[in-house]
Amino acid sequence: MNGVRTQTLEAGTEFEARGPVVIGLEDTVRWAAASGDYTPFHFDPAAAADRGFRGPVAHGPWKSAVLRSLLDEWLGQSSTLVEFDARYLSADCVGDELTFGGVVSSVEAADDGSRRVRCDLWARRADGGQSVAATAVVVVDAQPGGGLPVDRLKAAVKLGEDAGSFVYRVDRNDILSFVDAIGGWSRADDDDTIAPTTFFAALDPVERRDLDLDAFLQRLPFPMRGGGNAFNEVDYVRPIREGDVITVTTRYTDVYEKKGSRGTLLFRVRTNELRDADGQLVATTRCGHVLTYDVPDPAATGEASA
Amino acid sequence: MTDLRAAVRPELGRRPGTGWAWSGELAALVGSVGTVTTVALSAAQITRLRAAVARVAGLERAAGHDRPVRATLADYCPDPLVFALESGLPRPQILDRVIDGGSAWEQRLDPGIGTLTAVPRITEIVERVTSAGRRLIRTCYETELRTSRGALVGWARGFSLDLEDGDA
Repeated sequence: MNGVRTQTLEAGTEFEARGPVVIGLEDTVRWAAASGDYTPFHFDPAAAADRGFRGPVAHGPWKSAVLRSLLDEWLGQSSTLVEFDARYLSADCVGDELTFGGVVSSVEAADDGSRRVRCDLWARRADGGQSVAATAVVVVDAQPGGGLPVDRLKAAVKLGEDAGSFVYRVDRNDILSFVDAIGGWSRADDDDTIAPTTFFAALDPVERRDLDLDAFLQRLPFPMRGGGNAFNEVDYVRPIREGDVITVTTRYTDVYEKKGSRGTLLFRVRTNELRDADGQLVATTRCGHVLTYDVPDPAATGEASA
Repeated sequence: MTDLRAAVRPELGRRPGTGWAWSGELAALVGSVGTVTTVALSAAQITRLRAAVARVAGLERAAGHDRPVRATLADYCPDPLVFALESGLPRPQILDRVIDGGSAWEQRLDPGIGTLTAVPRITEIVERVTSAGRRLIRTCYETELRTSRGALVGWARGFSLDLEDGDA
C-alpha cells in the first residue's frame, strides 16, 4: 500500500511516486465514456493527426483524476479532498510515459480539530518536463479507533456551555408565512398576532443555519445513510407575539452514538432558551437530531493511518 | 466588431490576431450563464470514473467493491470545461488554437450520491502575453453546484486557453 500515516504528516512529506506508466488507448476511451468527452482526437489517431498531434491525446481531467485517486490512496479514507486545482502544461499522447507524484507543502490545524493538508502534485513526462502542476487541500479527520468522532463533536459544540446567542425580531410577515407554510390554522380568539405553538421551533439558530459548529460531520469518511429530527419539545411560558424581539441562547446538552439496524446513529441534543426584550423567559425548547452513518469495523478496513 | 458566432462556432470565422481590439467583446462574455441543468450521479457512474484511472493509478483494487463508494464534486462534473461548453456557453477562439488549460474543484459539502443543480457561467477572461512573447486568452468557466434544497456544494472550474502559435 502506498499510504502514509496521516498522524505523522508534515510539510515535506513525499508521496510514493507512481510510474512511469504508459498511457494506453484504453485509458482515453474509458475516460471518454465515463466523463462524456467524446472529442475524437482523444481516441482517434486520424483526428489527432489532423490537429497536429503524434497520437490520441490524453484528457487533461483524466490526469487530474489519476492524481486525485492517488491522493485518496496516499492519505486514506479519513481524508476529504476539498480543493484541487490543476494546470495542464503539455499534451500527452497515447504511448507516452507519465509519472505521478506529490509532496505535502503545509499542515494546518483547523478550529474543528481537523487538519488541512496542502499538497503540491505533479505529473511528469519521460523527459522530466511537467505535464500537470496541481495543488490540493485535503481535510484529514483522523479519529483514534476509526469510529465516529464523538469526543471531538462534544468539544466542537461546546457541550454543556452556551454555544451562542441570536436575536430574532418576529414580524407579522414571519407569523403569516409560517402559518401559510404549515397549511394554515385557526384560533378560537381569531388573534393572528400570536404565533402558533410550533413557531417556537422556527426560532432555532441551528435550523436557521445561524449556528454551525459541527460542519465537519459532513466530511466524515463514512457514507451518511440519512438523518433528521429525532424529537422537538417545547416548554413555554407565554406565546410569541408579533413585534417580539426574542434572544435565543443555544446549549448542546448531549452527544452520543447508538447502533441501529441501518447503521451507527449519532445523536446531538440541544436546548434553546428564548427570552424577550425584557429578559423574561418565553420558552425553552429541546431538539434532538440524528445522523446515520455506515461505519465499517476498523479491524476490517485495513486502515493503517487513522 | 468581433463576430461572436466565431466564439460559439469557430468554424464560422476567426478574427485576425493583429491586436487586442476584441477586448470589449470578450469582456461582454463575462457573466454569461449557460443552461441550468440537474446532474444525477449514481454509484455505477462513480465506478466507471474510478475504473478509467485505476490501471494508471495502480489501483485496480479500488475500482472494485472493497471500499465504500464516496462521491465527490468532481464525480458530478469530471470535466468542467466540457460541461460548461455543453451548457451552451461560448468558447472564444480568436488566436491560433484553443486547448484545455486546467481544471479545479472546490468542495464545501459532501455531495453524496444523488442529484445536484448546476449553474455554469463565464467568470473571467484574461488576456496576456506569455514569457515566450505569444498572446494568450484564458477563459474561466465556473459551474456552481447546489443541492435540491439550495445548499452550496461547491464549484467546478474549467479553463480554456486560446493561444497564438510561435510563428504567428
